[in-house]
Amino acid sequence: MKLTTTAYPDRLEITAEGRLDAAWAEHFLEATRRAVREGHHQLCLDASGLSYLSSAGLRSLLLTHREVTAVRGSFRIVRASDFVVQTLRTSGFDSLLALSAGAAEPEKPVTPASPAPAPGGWSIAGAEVETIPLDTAPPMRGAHLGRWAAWSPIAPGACPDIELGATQVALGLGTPGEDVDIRERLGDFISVAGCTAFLPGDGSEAPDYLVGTGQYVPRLRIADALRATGAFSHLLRFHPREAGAPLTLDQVLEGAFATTRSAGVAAVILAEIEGLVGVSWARSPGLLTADTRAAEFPAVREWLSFCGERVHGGALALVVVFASTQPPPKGVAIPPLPSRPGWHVHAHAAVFPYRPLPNGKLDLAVTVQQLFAGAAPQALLHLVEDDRPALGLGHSAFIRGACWCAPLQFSSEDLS
Amino acid sequence: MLEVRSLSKTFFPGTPNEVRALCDVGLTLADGCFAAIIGTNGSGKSTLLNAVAGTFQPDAGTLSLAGHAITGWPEHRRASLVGRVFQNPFAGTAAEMSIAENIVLATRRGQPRGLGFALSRQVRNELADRIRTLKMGLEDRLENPIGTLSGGQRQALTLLMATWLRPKLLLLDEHTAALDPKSAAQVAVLTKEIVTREKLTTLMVTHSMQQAVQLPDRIIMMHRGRIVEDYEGERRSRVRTDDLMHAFDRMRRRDLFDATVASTILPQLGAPHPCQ
Amino acid sequence: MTLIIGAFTIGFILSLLALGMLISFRIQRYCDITVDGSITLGAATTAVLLVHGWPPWAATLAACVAGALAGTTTGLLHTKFRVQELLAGILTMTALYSINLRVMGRSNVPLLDVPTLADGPERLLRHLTGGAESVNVAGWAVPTRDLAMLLTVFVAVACIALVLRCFLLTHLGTIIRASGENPQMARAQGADDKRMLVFGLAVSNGLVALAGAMLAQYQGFADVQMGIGMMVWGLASIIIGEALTGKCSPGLAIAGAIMGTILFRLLIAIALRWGLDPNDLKLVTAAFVFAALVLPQWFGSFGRRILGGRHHA
Repeated sequence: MKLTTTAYPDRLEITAEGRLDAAWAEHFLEATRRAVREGHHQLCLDASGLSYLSSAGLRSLLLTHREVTAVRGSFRIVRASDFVVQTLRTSGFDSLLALSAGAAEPEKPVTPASPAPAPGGWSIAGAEVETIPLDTAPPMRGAHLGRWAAWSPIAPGACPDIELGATQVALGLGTPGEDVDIRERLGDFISVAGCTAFLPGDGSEAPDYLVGTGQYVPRLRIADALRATGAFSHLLRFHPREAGAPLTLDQVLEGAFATTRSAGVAAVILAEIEGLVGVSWARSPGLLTADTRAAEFPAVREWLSFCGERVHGGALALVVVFASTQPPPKGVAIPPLPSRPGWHVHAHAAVFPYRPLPNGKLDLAVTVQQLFAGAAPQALLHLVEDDRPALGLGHSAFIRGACWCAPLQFSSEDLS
Repeated sequence: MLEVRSLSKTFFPGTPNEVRALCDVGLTLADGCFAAIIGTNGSGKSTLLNAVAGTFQPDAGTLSLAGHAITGWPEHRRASLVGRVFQNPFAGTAAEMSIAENIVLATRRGQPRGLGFALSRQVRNELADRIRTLKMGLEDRLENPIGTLSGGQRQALTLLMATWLRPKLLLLDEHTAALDPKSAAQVAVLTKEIVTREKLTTLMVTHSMQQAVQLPDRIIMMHRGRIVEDYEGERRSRVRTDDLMHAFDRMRRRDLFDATVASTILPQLGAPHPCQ
Repeated sequence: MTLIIGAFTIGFILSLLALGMLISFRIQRYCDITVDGSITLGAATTAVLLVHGWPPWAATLAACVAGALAGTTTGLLHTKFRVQELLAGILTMTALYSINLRVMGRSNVPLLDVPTLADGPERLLRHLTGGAESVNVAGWAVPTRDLAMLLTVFVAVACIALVLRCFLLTHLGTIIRASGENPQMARAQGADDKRMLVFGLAVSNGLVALAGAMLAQYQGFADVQMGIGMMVWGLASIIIGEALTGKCSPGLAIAGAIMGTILFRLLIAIALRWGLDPNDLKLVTAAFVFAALVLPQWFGSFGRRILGGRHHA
């Protein structure tokens, strides 16, 4: 079977010639999945060259249909031969057929040129960025909870129990549990739209998660956390131009700063990963004692696990970021970003198996809940920048995805 | 019971090729325990096995097996307590000698060998009976040189030889690694069968995560001459191959975490709290 | 006929050398060069003891013990002091040259009018034949003395071959064979492969020295040069023997080595008869061994059967 693809302004047309049978069905599915991954959600199969369609082939058409509909796309079969039409009809799948079969479509294929960036939107070389304004709500209210002085011993009594509701995003160091001694299980967490993922610091490989539904709101005992409450003001959709480079975390944040016109932002990034750079706790920091010199090499290796290379490429990341281009206000600790003087960034990422995202405007809560319902998170990292000369792994970077962002103001009431 | 106490060995000390193969390794293996040692190349897993077998003398540390302090015993003396199967199917048998002759050697492992004839009719029958349990049809080929057998058959026979007299400790050094997948699976099954039936204390080195998860009661992971993980009891029961792969990954990441990494990431994590 | 009787007698005597080398070269897979020295040592010891009036059997036994000591020395040099195997043999062989000169006191000891092992059988034969100087064998008159010598060595070789075969089939013999082929395996079965090697070399050189002792008594002299090239002759015999019988079992290998030696002596006797210059004998032998070692390699896998090798795969 021979597959050729042509991009039109409103769709991607796949021309298949030959037999679509068990031997080729996987190949066909791979091609359509690749197209979806590259952002083409309106697919069209030119079936004029299709000489045979087996049940396996039929299944691949159905799967394609199901997958593109899941991302609000469409899949149509046009110019099908009688045989193919017959096969689809008899198996009851003729709803897939666009019966505009063979309608003269003289338009020329185009290399998809994006519409000019929306006024006031942010742009960057090498990437298509679409800025979608959301609520014009007041800035998100931020709070630094827990107040753990890094690398100091943690008293369980000093770990408040906080609620992580649907209107909040948060990251930090915490673990669920009321009565157990939480000191052995403290680890990084993120929380978005009532969904919380956390990596217990007891040597677990895979993160655990809590999904808020109905009356249930996840709660965590935290040693240290940044939490923002409110609605996001903007959504950025980004994907690379032809041969464009992936966007690094600081580039995405640059967009968030520019779009929100604010020196402090809270952001959630949901994007296909090019590579993440980060650390996680190898042992729970709750086990630190006053005389542990854990923040020194080589003892630090017993406590922190460094990814060592750019990891999780091709998977999907859900990232919570608190960032500021100014020194954070008193009472708030956000660590500096080495390569950007003046910037302060704290970001945690949960990694999920890849699944395509619909184009255009995305509802954060729905998307994140679907994400948690689909598959368990595979990893959770505290993102860092590795700016070592020559050897450094650089920033975490993303290929395509979405970034919800909002101006952030640390409110005094939360500080009390 | 095998007890290994703070065993250390450095090969080629003081040369550019210096290898710290074992660093202060301690291990207690209870009677009847089937333990697997896994680890990357050069992790010291085979070295540990060879140290127990007596191939070399350790720089420091002691070994005791079934109440005997065997640290100073030469290899051949330890054979009275230890049965061994090697990675190379050719290493455990004498190729030009017959199957019967090879096995009759094993019937006197570690015992004085007299001037009595090695192979009487009665002995032959006994050998055939026990070889029949392998279900490989070898009992009819007792007079064939063992070199004419396939690697899998040779490993099965070597395993039988190593356990002919119940050893206090069975050492398996990647004994299925050189076999084709089918023979490897057969030998693995046979291993489990014999070890379980005879309740043998066994130390097995393996490359195969799958084997490490399926066969033994206990999984020991080595890295850079040290024991870094020891899955026993409850923890052992929930181990899957993925967990072992992750553990290896952790070791590798740990190696990549050097001082330069520490100096670049610590400021990004350890910002002191402004309030305190 | 004298020629044939001579070839057989020398063949039987040297088959002891071949048996000794069978142990070191084939069973132990140890390239033992001590042979050249220990055969002379056997001859020298016997000759000197006979001259000093020892009974022939005691002198022969003493030669055996001396040879075994030489073998032990080589073995210990290799196992205890980690001298390379060839070098260990060379060291012992070189030392033996001086020792042999010391034993004999000069380079040649003639054995005139001294009793030999063949005296008993000779008396027996004379008794049976009524004191005849020669015996009629298939129409040829053969001197009784020569016949007695042949009988003696035949009985000796037959006994030794039988004992050796039985020994190799015992538990001890089996582990010795295994330790030669696969020392690692032997150790895993609880055998001290180094001790096995030393023991094997002692037996091997004991037999070689026995061959020397008999040779001296047959030739009627011991000469310090007589050992030169003996190793290659022995090797040639073993190779011919393996071509004759294969080496499947110890019994066949032993029989092969004996037959190979005799065949080799007959071939030499015939070649000499046809006018081969005796001075060229060693060159021809060396060429023969070379061809036997190398040709099969060219013809493929057959080479492996002939060559063996310490680390057989």
